[in-house]
Amino acid sequence: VDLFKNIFSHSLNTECRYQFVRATQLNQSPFLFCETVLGNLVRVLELKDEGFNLLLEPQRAEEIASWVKTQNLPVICLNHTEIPPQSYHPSPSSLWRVLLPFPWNAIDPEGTSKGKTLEFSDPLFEKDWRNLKNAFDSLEAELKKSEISAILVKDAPCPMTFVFHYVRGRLMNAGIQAEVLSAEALQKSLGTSVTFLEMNKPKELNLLGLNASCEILQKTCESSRTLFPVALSSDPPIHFEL
Amino acid sequence: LQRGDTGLFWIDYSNLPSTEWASHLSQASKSSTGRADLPLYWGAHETIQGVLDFTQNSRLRLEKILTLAHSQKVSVRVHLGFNSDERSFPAWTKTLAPTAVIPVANGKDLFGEIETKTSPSLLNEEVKKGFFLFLEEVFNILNLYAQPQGPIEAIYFNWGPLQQDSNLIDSKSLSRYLESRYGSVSQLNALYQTCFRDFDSASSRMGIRTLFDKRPWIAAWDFKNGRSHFLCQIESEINKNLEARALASLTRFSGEGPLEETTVKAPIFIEDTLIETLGEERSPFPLMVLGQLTPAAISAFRLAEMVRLGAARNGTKVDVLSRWEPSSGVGVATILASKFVSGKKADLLLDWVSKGGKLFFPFGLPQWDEKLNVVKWGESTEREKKRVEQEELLCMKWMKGQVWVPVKEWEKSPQLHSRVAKVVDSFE
Repeated sequence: VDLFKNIFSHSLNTECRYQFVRATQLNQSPFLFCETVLGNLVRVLELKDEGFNLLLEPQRAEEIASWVKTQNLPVICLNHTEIPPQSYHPSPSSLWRVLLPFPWNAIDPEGTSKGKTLEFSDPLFEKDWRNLKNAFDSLEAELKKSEISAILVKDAPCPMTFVFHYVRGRLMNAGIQAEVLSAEALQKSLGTSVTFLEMNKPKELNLLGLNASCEILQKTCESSRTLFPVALSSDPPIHFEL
Repeated sequence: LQRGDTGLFWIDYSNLPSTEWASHLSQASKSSTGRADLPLYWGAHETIQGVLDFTQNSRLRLEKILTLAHSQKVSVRVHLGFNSDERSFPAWTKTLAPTAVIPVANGKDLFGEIETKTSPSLLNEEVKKGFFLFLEEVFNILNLYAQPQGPIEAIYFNWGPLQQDSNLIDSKSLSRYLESRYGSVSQLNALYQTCFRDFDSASSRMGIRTLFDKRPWIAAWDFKNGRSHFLCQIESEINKNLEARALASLTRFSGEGPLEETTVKAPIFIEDTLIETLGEERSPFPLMVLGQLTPAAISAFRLAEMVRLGAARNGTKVDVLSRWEPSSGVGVATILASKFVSGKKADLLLDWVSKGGKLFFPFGLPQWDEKLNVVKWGESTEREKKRVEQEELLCMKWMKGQVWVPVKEWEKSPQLHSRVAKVVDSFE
């Protein structure tokens, strides 16, 4: 139990989630994110290499609304059209929600409900986001295969391991370890099945923007391997009496 | 079980097998305070409407855990009320209208989606009646276990997210509140430049919108106070119940007691009448009234977000002015306010300045309070112009302290923090 607690002792704070964004190169797809509430433009964020800028200065909402339209960057607008939304469900603890920081985690092309819409300025950009979401879903499908799963990110300036705890396919806990964990070590320590993935930047990645991120996620899925628990030699053999 | 940094030692007994209670209490007894905090969830104890369970389900045996605590010499603080836990309200209350509309906090993230959700509301008579019956039963039990006969040293009552309910004001109670504040409708009309016939029309949905259109800051002040007034009325009803059992002296309502044992030590304070602040991180959220946003609230929210982002990048601490207290202990405070500040807060700030505090208002001095009275920032002051790099400032000395303003009001820009830092450094 203590070991289990230790593994999840460092929860995924904003900085850890930014590290994941960097590892998947999502930060290399700049865009503008707008959020409106009942038609009022409430905030505009410019997402770029290292984090974001808050573009909406308090006294210039209208100017910025028209300024956004003149920018070369793709724009994603999250519109809250009903307050409160008619059917509010607490945010599901999907990998998308848990692993990505705001605003990426709010841009779920499949996750809009009544009272909330997503608008993309460019249909191709929207298609890329849908592909990205699909790649994320595939990644989550791999992680769900075991109670404990891990993604090792070696290429980052500081290697790290993201760890996940799933129970019946539901994400219960996510954490980070600032070290390189191995599948065998995890499996041996916890005595449970472990699914282990490695995220590496492909050597020749001739793709840009979100396509590159999709490729990284896909390669990560391909690296998946599951280790099943083995009975320790000191365990007494199981006898079945008929 | 949680052991926070706030000195609270939570034992969420209704979520633990009763066989584990003793070991958790034993840990609590060994803690530095020797105290345990028990949250009592209405939703856990009343899964079926009208059937309160304090004995059947082994996890809900409140008397058992209190007896155990007493035998292990653990002091207990009981926490009643509401929080973001689903068990705050029973499932049967969740479909009853009218509902509360509350902002959703983003946890520890700097930013998050602007989300709201519905929650049961005490404006619904059935919900309120059910809650009072639950409290009555709880108080009957707690009464037997108050110190010195039992382990209970205090009862904390927290309204939690209901304090930020955008709907928590019915027109009748708002009307009563406005009448108590303004006396006559002509006074209200004079302040708001309106022509309501009576308080009832000013308290209707349309009336509230008109008030917000005319004087958004004062309307926000009235709305928030009206809401607190409504909660205070319920608190006084609860208090009657407590007094009948001699538990009143043990009970603290939200804002009265050390629910969070923290001290505010931030150099920048944002005037927060037009925003709500959520969670421990005090994330800003635009003030919503009856599910609507006003341009003034959006503006205030944008400023608060910009300041918060700047603070995160500069490592500055920011808090809201409503939490500022003279005991905050800082010698210099920067206040970001519009033209308004509450009269009570202005008095506290002036008193603090008179004792040697230094205040800096980058956006100029707030000029009026909620009654549109002019705020007097030290009448017989000695004025002096000063220059700090490119900034031209006016320093007004008031008794032992000083009030500083820029000669020309600053723009609300992301450079605010670095400019404030330069000016404030020059004070020291």
